Amino acid sequence: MKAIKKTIIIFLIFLLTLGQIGFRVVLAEETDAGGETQTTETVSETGDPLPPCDPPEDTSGVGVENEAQVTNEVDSTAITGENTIGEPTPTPTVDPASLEENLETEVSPTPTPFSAEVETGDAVSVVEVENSVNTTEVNSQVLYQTLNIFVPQGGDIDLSITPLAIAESVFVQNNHQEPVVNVAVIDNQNFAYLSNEIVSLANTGGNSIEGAEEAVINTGDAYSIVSLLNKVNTTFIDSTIHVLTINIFGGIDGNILLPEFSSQGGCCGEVVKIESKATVENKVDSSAISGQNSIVSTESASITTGNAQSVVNLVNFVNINLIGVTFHYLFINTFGEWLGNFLGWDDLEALPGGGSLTLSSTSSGGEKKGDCSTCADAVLIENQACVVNNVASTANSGGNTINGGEATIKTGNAYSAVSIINFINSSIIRSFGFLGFINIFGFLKGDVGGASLFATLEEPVLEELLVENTSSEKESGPEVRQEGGLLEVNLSHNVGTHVLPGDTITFFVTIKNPGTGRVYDAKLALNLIKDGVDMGGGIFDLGDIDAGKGAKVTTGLVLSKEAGPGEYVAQALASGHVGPDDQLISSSAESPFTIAVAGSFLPGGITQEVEAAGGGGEALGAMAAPKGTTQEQKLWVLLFGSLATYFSTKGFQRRRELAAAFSRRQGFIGSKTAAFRSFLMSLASLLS
Amino acid sequence: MMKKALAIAGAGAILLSMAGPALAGWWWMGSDDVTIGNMAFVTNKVTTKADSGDNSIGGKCVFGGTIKTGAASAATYVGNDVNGSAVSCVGCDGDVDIHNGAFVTNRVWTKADSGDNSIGGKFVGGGSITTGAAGASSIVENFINWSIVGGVPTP
Repeated sequence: MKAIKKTIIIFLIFLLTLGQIGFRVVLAEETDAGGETQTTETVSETGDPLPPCDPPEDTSGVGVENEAQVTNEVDSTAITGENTIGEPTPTPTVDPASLEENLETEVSPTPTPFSAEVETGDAVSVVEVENSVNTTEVNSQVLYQTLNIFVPQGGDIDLSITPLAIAESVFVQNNHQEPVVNVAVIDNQNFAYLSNEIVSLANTGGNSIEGAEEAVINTGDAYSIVSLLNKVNTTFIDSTIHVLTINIFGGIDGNILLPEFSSQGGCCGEVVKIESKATVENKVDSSAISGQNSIVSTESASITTGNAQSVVNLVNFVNINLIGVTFHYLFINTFGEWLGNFLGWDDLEALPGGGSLTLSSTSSGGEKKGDCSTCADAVLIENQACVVNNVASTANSGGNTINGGEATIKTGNAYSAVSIINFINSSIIRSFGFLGFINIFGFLKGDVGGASLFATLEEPVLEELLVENTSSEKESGPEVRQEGGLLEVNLSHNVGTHVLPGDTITFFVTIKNPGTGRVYDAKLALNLIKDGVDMGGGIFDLGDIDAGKGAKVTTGLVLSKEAGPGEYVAQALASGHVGPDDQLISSSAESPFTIAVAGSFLPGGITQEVEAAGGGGEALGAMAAPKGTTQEQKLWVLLFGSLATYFSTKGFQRRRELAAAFSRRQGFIGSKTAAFRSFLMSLASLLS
Repeated sequence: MMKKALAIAGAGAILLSMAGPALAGWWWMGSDDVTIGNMAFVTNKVTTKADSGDNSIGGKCVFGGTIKTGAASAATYVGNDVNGSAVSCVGCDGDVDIHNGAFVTNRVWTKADSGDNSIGGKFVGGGSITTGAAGASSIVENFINWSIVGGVPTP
């Protein structure tokens, strides 16, 4: 009898399962982590997918329910083409009053031989769309920051000094004893329908000349750029997150300093249930055309086309759940020009810049807090999202026609670039992290990296000393300078075997005080020396350095295109005073490098001096590089160099994250990525 | 037999919970339990085209026709990171159940064309066609249904 009951139960379960879901293959593996039973189950499905676009059902209980329907229709057009020069042709008319005049026109159809020329300027179409739909924050500190930079500006962008960082600091300093409104149970339901219809057209072509004895068409370059970022159904619970978007339409002559955070104590464990359903459809059409020109000639004819380059970068993050982790996500999309490098950031390593980068890392959070009163006890999240993106980007400098005698068509270049990033149904719970997008449409002349990697002439050091001095003076009169201070300098740079004129060199200087007393009025002099001759440099005011403390200075130098070849030496000299007698102490370090191509430095060896981060001292931070390459070359390198870097970076990061679980797949991806990079490099060299 | 029945019953219940809202009645879970159900339908149709070719010179008489094209290059990258879960269990003592279902379709068409040029006519005296390089490349990366539980690696 029992056996019959079991059989019936099993049969019913199968019926229900098949009826609801369709055919499935279930793979399950069990892992034992620390005595706990944790089951990770992966379900691969086959059959006709039915997009889950029905709105959520009503449920009882306290919670947040979001429903949104967003439709964006964006049409951006830039046209300098579609010009026509034609033979004078009679215009038929039915106006009796002008009949006689028209007849006169018709009886004299012989065209006068003429020369014709069409010359068009560049056409640039840029579309940038960002959607944030259904965002929920509970017991969290989330800073949304969007910076749109439309005009060129100098100076660094320091994201480590943000309202969020300040609030966090106060929160920690106060030992979070302030009253906290705690949300114990969260029932969050999100439904979103997002549709983006984007058309971007840049057209310098489509010109025609009819009947000219001599006809010339010269078209400018056509640029069509589309950037689309969708953040849909994003939930933050018990988390501290910095969400940043920087759109650089103009330019930045400075560095971008990223906030740093180590693994921090998270909230205690909680009951979490997340159900996410997403339908994402992306239809992307990107065309770059410099061809499709035609000449019907009775004499000599010539067609010369520019380059045509089309790039699509589509990334989907769908149903991503991060619980109890510390993460970094940073996307640097370079559509314009980036002269600088990624210096590193927390556990992310340094990478060469210039192109687009995708940087991500995920690591375990810290130990949980002792006080769990501010943590949610239970979390229920239900996400449903339908996102449809239809994007068409066309850059056209071609499609020109001439019908005449001696004819010449010369087209400009055509560039079409599309970048789409979808963050759909992301749930971030008791985590810390940074989600950032830096879109460079203009230029960025500077480095990007963790704040600690840049010059550490931080004002807080000076402020701290001032406070101490003031206190000391009040209590015991003028301060007697301590003895025992020492200086130690380490200098390095990012040059490999050699450097070429026009390249950027980044110097890294670390100054330490390994002694037992303070070093006063410390300064760093950084100079370039060639053949024993000082070519110039800068001085950094470091202030006072306590025993066991130090400072880091990172600065960049853009060599002149005329920089002379040979061996150069970068010399860092740190000096300061110690003891009651103001004894001068110093320490120096040198680091040679080679310039490989003939030329000469600009006066002083530095193109321009600018103030270093933190101010207060002279700096060797010249970043005003003359443009040595053509726009065509730069864009080519940017477009494809960035893509290659993107592939390698993403593959590399992801492979590391999933090393244990997906080793075979990683090997496949790694080989493909390497092959693709190799292909792009060979292609670039071929085309250059 | 009983174990199999329980396992199947558990699987059936899990699948049913994914299919419907089932918002109520989940509070039975023990402390620190994490249950995640993801269902994703992702379709990508990408056309990337670069064309510096398709030029033509024609006429009754063509003398010294010249076509010289630039390079054509088209590159497509599609990356899908779908149904990913990272659950760090520092201090956790509950069960973790993750259920993922994904349908991902990628259709990528990438074309670079510097050719298809022609010089023709009734009388053609000489002619030259020089094309630039053409390079087309596509990469599709799919990370579907990945889960890291019980200790997220530090890169």
